[in-house]
Amino acid sequence: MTQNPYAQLPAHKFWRTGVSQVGVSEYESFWRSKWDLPENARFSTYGSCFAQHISRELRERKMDWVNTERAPARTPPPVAQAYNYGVFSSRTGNIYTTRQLLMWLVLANDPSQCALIETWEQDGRFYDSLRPAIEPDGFASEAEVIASRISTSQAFGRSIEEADVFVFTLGLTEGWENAQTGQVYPMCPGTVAGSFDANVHVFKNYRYPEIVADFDHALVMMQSMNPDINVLLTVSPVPLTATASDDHVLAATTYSKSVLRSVAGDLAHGHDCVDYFPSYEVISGTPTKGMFYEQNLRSVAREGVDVVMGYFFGGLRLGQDAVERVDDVTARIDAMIEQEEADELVCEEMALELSNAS
Amino acid sequence: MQAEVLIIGDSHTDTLARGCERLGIEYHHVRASGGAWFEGKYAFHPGRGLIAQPGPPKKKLNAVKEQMGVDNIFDAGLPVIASFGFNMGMLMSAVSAFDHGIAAADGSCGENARTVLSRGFAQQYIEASNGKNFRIIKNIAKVADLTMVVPPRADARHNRLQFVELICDRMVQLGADVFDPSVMITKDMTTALDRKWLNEDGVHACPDYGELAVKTLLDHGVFGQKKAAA
Repeated sequence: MTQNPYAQLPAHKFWRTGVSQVGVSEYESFWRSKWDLPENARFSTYGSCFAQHISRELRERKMDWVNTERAPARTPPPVAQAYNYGVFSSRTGNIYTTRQLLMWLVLANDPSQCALIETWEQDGRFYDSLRPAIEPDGFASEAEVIASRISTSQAFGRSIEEADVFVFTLGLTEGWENAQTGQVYPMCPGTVAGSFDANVHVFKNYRYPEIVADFDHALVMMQSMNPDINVLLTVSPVPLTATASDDHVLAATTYSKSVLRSVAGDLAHGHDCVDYFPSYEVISGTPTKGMFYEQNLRSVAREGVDVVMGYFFGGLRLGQDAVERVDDVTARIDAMIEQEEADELVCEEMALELSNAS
Repeated sequence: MQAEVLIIGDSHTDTLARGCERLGIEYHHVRASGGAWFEGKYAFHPGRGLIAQPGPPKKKLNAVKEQMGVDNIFDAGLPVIASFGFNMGMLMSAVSAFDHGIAAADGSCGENARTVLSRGFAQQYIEASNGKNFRIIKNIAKVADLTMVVPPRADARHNRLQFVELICDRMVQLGADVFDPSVMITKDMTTALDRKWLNEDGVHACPDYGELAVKTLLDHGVFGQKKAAA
């Protein structure tokens, strides 16, 4: 038999034995994290919608998920959810692009710039242009918006300082900017809040070099805040809801995801502290034949998330001894909340419910 | 003498009771701990009025009913001064433990705030925490002249002031009148009461405070002879 580089490769290096003859949840050696982390490694999570699944799974598995902007103790889950607590490590809302990530880092490093960000007024309520849906009914005043924005930018900074791994899901290449100020928006003004002005709001479809440059800049800033930080990139498998480009939305989605996937791969190759987790491939790859999408062919089905998370937690290397934290604020707060919630359950059991007419 | 007022609430109503005694006003008093109110041991029944969970709350309530000679304490037609549903201890412990600061109308959040809470969130949080008491207040306000009396401003921490403001707004929405005796004493709405107005525990108001509060309510015709004349 002729010797060649493929001759001794294991089964998972070949499509037939690595994929087509294997179930989608049973790929061998699918992913191993680049770094060996402490068993109590801390994770911050941000990015597009798909990143929310990672937040939730980390929490549910009692991993050390950094939450630097938590709701007060005894906040009912529906209220916390409505106000976007516990979705990401701080209340940034979705960060779809690396340009947005960069903006949050700028604000974290200089919260005084928060006052320069646009606030939108609509029907007597006020909306943060960086996260227009963060409060279900907007804010009471512009001053409140700014105070909240400053608080979140500081919490965002702390979530980087406290994390061992910054998990970031790249969502989009498309975005909107203010042509005069350069401010980026998570969504086109006029969609959720604000109003669209064609003379001011310009469409951007960030290209590979811009995204890499933004990320490199962001990485430098993160490392200045936490020299030991590792960044784990994923690419959202969720297709675009709509495109503002000249392309059909399917072509635009393919372009966007392809660019982001290339960026993530190259960044992981180029930096020891950056890794890529292939959740995108699991959900959107041909082996699944689209079965991990809901009927709208956009939302990711729970089964798909479960498979992704199986690979994620199966591949995380947490072999290092636990790190002793000088002041384990997160653990302390979690313990307090657990105790308070346990007390609350007792109270609830005793509560009078009968005939309490509304 | 017949009772002129029905007092309902937690330990802060003791001060109001002392005030009535000093001014020679007869009263009936439904009193339970703040914890009992917070835990929902009382409720409102459309036919029976205030009802209570079996145990000490129910025994206390039944004793008042017997004293009044009624099955429904609101059937006597007495005006009600009440202090419950603020639950400041529970609210303050929840937000202060993790350095939350509720945004005031001007955006200020308190000196030590690490995490800002919007007023919209704070309103929802209060509703979730105190909602059972709010339902009682709403229903009492339908069947009686109800004045909710704000607990004494023993401290003027930022979050406390915000909570009180939001809770008072809510109580007014529910149909109650709201009276804060502390505003009669302090130079502004953000100054804590001088210690001389407080009991040794530093939380509850002294009898002098209660007397001032009740006298003010009398002067404003909330109950007493002026009420009858009106």
